[in-house]
Amino acid sequence: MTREHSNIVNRLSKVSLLLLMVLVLVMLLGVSIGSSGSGVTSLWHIVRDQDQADPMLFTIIWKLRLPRVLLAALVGAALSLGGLVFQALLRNPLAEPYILGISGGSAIGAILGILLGLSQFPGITLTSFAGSLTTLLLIIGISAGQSILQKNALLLSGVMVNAFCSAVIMFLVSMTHDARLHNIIFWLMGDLSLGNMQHTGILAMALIPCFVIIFWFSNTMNLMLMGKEMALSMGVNIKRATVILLITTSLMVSACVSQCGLIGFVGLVIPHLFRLILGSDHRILLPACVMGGGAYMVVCDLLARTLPQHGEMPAGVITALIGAPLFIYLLKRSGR
Amino acid sequence: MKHAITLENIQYSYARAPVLQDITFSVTPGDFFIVIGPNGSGKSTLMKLIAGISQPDKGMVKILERPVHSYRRKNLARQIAFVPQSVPIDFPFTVKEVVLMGRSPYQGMLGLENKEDMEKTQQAITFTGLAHLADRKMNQLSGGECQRVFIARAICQEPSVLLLDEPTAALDLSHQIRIMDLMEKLKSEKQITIVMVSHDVNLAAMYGNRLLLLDKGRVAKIGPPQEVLTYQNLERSYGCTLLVDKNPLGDVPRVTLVPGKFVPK
Repeated sequence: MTREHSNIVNRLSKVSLLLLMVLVLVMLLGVSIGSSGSGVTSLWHIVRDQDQADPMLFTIIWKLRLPRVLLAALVGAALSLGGLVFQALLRNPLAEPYILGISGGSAIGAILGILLGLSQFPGITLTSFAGSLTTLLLIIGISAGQSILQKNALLLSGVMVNAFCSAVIMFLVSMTHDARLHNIIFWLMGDLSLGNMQHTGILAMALIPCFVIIFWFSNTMNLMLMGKEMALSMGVNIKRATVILLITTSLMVSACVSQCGLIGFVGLVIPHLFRLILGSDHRILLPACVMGGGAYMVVCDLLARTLPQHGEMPAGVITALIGAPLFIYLLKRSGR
Repeated sequence: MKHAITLENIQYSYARAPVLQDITFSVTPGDFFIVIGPNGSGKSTLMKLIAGISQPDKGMVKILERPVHSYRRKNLARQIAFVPQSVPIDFPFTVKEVVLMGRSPYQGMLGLENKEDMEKTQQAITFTGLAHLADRKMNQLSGGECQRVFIARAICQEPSVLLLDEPTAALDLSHQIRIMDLMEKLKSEKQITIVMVSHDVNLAAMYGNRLLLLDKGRVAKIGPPQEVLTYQNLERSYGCTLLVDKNPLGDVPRVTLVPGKFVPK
């Protein structure tokens, strides 16, 4: 291999390294800022001389903030990646797990799992996965007749599926007086506060293999964006790639939803931003979305817990406040 | 002699309606083979069958005397490249990125390019006259330029056969002639067999050495332009009045549309 071999590897490592630094920096910030005070310097003290540190702050940072920040980073990464994959497969830059109603479907699955009294892993994750796959098939079924290229048909079906899912969720919630569902409204807008180290660890074990599988297909996604006919004629096994990518992505999204509820628009904002900066090559976009999406979510969560005077707001409020206007802007622009 | 492409008794239906029936013909290596015919006569479907994108209901397609379905996908992609009629460009890759994709049949899953891939990409870009546009994004190019990028990408596949579905449709005159001259250059300099669909019978007459006239899913006539482009054949297939004479440029037929007001009652 010569030096000029693969400027793709070169670009990939540069982008990844830079964004990794951003992610680490943002996570440090996330761990050190919170309602019980402290800052980056006192974090340093806690890490350096653990005996002299305030035991209360020590617990807050290690038991509450760190798992929460890690959870935010993981969920942000997974949702951005989910958006990226759906946009490529459905050839629609506005596709996103939340907008398509796939998050809603997995939320129904998760609630049914909770009502059935299943455990978080694997029970609720599996019912949530079943929910997301069902909505995915539904959306593809609705819009397939008019070819996937029909952008508005796809988005409209997504909006309708989403509305239906919300109705079903509220129906389920109103019909039961289950104490386990008392936090449901918070959860529906995306709640990262329930993260503990164990849950975050299990989620990481589920998500990281998904990241690897999707990266393995990143060049295939590039080729598939040239259209079905051209991709096939370049030797791409489209069916296999599509099935593997859709299943992996649904699994990823439902793992996030069952843990943190509905956090929307992350998968729209992050891939769009990086496509503007880095171009369309998915081998570069993928690691960028993982790390950039992680960092974005950590910042959104930080805002969600520091902005309100009392308590905190769901992280999904922040992502929707940023994402929904961008969606409208993009929709208006794509119409031209 | 070894055939580049052979079709034997091909039959293909879409939603129970027959699209192609009893199609049998072969293409010799080095041919400039052009398929003509009225709209809906099955030209595009024929290209997809040859490219291995669709499978016939009956019959067999052979590439280099070997059944198309017996190839592994990537090996087939090294023998035959396809430029479809329409390619979506809503995800703006750069020209260089698209051309480089043509090397994917020779690469691993992640498509990491080596020095040879970069050189072949550069050569294809130069060959198609795109050097000044190499770093542009696809959505900033004109229709003719895009078409040349897709052809450059196909050249990178180093195929023995290049299939094109109406590459000059929707292009202005200068771009049409540029694409067709490019095809001729590919044939003579790189010994690539060209098989294309054209809606323009005069371009077909001037460039093709063998033509296939397709009508309602059947082969109406096959042979050199002088034999296929007679007014009897054309009027029967297209169902309109045509004037066929000799092209002043050379010994090929010239087809002129005859408007209603010139047709004697």
